[in-house]
Amino acid sequence: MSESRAAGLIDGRPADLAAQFFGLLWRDLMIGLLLGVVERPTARAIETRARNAAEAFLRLHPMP
Amino acid sequence: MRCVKAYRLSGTIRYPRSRAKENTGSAAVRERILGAAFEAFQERGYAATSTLEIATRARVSKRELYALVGNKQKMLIAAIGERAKRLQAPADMPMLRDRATLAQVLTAFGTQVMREVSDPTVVAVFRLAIAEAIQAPRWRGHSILSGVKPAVPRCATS
Repeated sequence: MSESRAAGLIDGRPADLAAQFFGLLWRDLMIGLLLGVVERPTARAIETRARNAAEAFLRLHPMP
Repeated sequence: MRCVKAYRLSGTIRYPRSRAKENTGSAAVRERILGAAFEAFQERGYAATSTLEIATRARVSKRELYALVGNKQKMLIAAIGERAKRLQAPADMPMLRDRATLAQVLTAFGTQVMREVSDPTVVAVFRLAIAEAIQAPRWRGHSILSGVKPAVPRCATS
């Protein structure tokens, strides 16, 4: 996140940016895994989730 | 962000009985004890697991167990710590010149993190850490949870 900011691609505090990205990525999945009420996502589902999180994250943080 | 290939948490350490006799060095025996402890904690819970059971599973004496690892609390801290150590930042990452590359890096990183952290062994570590969090005053100073935060790996924020 620091490098992204240094490159002028994004603005914000790196720790906050990372927390936000991981929030978009995980949503409530970890709670479900911990409680044993959801299955581990498939490789394809994980990749889709990561792509969606990245897109949402960049929409939330337009070019400064 | 140098974390694209950062997470190697999924490797569950197994100790087949046939290999046990081969691993006789102190480091190998310690590793075997930690593996046995972690398996026992997962199966029976921390509170219900005795040091005798761990010693039996690891095929060591209790004396050897205490000498190499310490008490049960130290074993849990060490077992979690060993797994948390795998959260290391790698050196390679593409240059971030544009947002398309940033999107690719975030996708790759997110995929890698989720693949590793959703591994059943890692989830079991989190469950153990949460279950033991109630003992927080006793654990003060050990930073037991510092390496197992699922939401924001430390390398992602640097």
